[in-house]
Amino acid sequence: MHLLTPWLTGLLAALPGAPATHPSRPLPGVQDAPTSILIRAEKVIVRPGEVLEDGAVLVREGRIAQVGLDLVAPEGAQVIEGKVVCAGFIDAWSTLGLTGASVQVTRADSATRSADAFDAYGSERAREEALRAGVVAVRVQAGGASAIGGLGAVVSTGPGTDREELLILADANVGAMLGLTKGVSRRARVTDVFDRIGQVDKLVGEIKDGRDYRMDQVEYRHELEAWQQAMAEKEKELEKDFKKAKKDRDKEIAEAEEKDKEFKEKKYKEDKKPKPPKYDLEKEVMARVADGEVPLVVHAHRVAELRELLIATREYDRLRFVIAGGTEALTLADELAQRSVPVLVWPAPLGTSRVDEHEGHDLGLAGRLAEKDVPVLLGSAGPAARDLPLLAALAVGHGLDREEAFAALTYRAAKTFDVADQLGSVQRGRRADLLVLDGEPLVPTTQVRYVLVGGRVVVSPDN
Amino acid sequence: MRCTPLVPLALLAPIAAAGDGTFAVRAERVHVGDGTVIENGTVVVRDGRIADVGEDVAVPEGAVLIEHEGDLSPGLVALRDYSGGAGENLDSTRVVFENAEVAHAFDPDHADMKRLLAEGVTTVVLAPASGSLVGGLCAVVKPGARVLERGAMLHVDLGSSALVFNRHPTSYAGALAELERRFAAIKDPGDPEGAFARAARGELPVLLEAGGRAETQRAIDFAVRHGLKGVLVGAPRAGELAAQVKAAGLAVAVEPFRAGANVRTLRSAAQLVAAGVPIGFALDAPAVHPSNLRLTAAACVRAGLDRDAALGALTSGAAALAGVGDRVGSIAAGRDADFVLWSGDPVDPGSRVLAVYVDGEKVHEGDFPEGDDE
Repeated sequence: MHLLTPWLTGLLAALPGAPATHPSRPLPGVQDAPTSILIRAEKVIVRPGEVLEDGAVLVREGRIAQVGLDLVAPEGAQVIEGKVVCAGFIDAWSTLGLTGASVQVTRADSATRSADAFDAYGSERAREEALRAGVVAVRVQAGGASAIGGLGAVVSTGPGTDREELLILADANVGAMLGLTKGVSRRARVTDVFDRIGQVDKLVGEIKDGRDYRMDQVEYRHELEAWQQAMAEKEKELEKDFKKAKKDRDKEIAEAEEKDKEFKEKKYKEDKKPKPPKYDLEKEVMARVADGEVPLVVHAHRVAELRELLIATREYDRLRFVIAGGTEALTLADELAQRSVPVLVWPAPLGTSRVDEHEGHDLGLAGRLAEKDVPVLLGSAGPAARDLPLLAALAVGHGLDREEAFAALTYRAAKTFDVADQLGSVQRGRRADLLVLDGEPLVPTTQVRYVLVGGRVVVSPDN
Repeated sequence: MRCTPLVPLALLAPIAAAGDGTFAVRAERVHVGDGTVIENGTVVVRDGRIADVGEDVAVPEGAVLIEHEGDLSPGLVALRDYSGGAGENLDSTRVVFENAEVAHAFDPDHADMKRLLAEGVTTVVLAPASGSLVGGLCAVVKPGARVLERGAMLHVDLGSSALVFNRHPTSYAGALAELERRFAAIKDPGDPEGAFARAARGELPVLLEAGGRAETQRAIDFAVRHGLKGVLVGAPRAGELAAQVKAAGLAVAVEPFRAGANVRTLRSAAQLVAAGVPIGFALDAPAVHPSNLRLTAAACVRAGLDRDAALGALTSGAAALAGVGDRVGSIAAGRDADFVLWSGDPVDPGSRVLAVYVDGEKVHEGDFPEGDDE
């Protein structure tokens, strides 16, 4: 354990906390898309709550080039007319394209990459269905039955089977779970409240280890710098004049004798080159979590472990985390709101025969949390991203504002998982992953008329 | 949209119960249940029944008028449900128990019933729990209130759920052989008033369970062979056999929606309606949440089912299939005053249940966060 010396804190603060922006790269299928597409609509939902009446969106080279009122179609551009244009939906909690084994693995760790588990071939049909329902991206999470399930990834549901092309962000989050019984083998199941709180301590311990690891790295970097500087000075000294150096030494010996002091031989720094901390892949990832570079998604339901988690993480002010599930989160709404911890709700019509942690499952949860200013996200918690809009509507029918539900499926999801520069809004520079609807979003009678992925029309009334 | 009654809703029940119990509701849209909508319609309720409905209906003097900003529809009707059964609806020791009345398992005060009402479901067909070949006679009940029909339908399971590895029958062939034997027995010397005999004469409708396409085909053939009338339930791919279903004179209770359901299953309802087959929706609460009834309808609409047809299947259509169409499922004079006040279109899962009435009494009031305009 290292004390937080002022210089260390300073350095720590200087480390990048904000997500790195993604350099532009070609989007799937751009090559065979028309050069540009102009979409005119009665209503362009730029971002939740920001609407452009009778607006237009110009798409060029796979991205949104312009959003405005009087855009002129460039020569050769395809023109699409519609009622409503909005950003494609994001399923913030999905297992689409992952095998059951990847989802249920109990021994994943923080460095396990969901992106590696994603099957671009086997998921083609599910992705196509998701696209037709307007879901253009999913955050997939493997290792759901592991204490720490590893890195979740944001993946496009667009066509094609090139995993690298479909991958939007490979390290969107780190997943963890507390006190789950669903999908967890009987032996590993934790139902006792003390054991569940023990799980919280373990998880927070991992975060702490990550933070310590990063501090060690920072300290090492500092020591290495000091050593290198000392080395350089020494070399300079030796270069100047070897004789002079010898003379100086003799003089120092004489002076020491005169003053009746012991002569101390100068120590050569090269004997003490600082050693780097032992590289640890898992701690590398947890260090990024502790520093807020990557959000932590904690799948937990009951108030005991949720409360403990909130208390134990208070000192980690850079940590960004998300509660997934959160059946009993309403009790803690005030602190969740105050710390802006989003709750990722699964608004499924669960019956009464359900596992422990879903006891008390309430379709009104999302609405009640939102009412208390807790940021709400929505996810399908399974492979059926296609059905997320229906589940979102169900949450609306049980108290969530439709506007909030829309935000949860677009901008808020993108922002939480650091893909807001790619998805979630109709703004210049974003991927042209857009929906053209014949009515308001999230209404089942509204038809999705066109879906664009990477600037290419992948769903249209003709297909 | 919010429900803004002239008197607070909470005060209404005692008032409605007082005197002759006459009150009226005026809603922006009254969905009759047969596809027609009355804009700014008024429904007059007297003695637990609908006395009058229309656009220019006079509110009787002294009657309380509730102004509802939103939609009014008949209470929803579910075609296969297990609410409140809690093990009372399965006789696991007998494979065929045709005279067992599920009505005996009905507990109007069970917590499941409140959940149904909270989602606007005011009539359900209670079926025997799966596991039997012939589980008995289904009951049509009003949650929280009473039994409408005791022996409404004969439950026959031609699906895989009736096959149990350690007792006869263990195969489809065995199941059919057993059923054939039962139907053959009615001819000689015969029990003309037995359930099988009445079913074979078409007097007692059947609720015929079937799974995949092959099972559905088998069930249709079986119904035709024995002259059975009634409802195929489950039958996720009945849409692909719509012409045969139609020719057999059967109806379909569409399987409850499940996240990730096959697209062909979701399209089935639209295909059936296009072929002129009457449909309703199965619910299967409490294993699923009662809101799944509306979600099923919405999922079918998204897959191509006409919106009006979906609402009909949720209300009057299902009531007709349950044999109680003359009493519930429609907003029409003389029908039971079972209706729901919604914040919007009843087929949209995003609409909220603001109040539910059964026999003219308010049995549920929605509790939603304030300060939004949904």
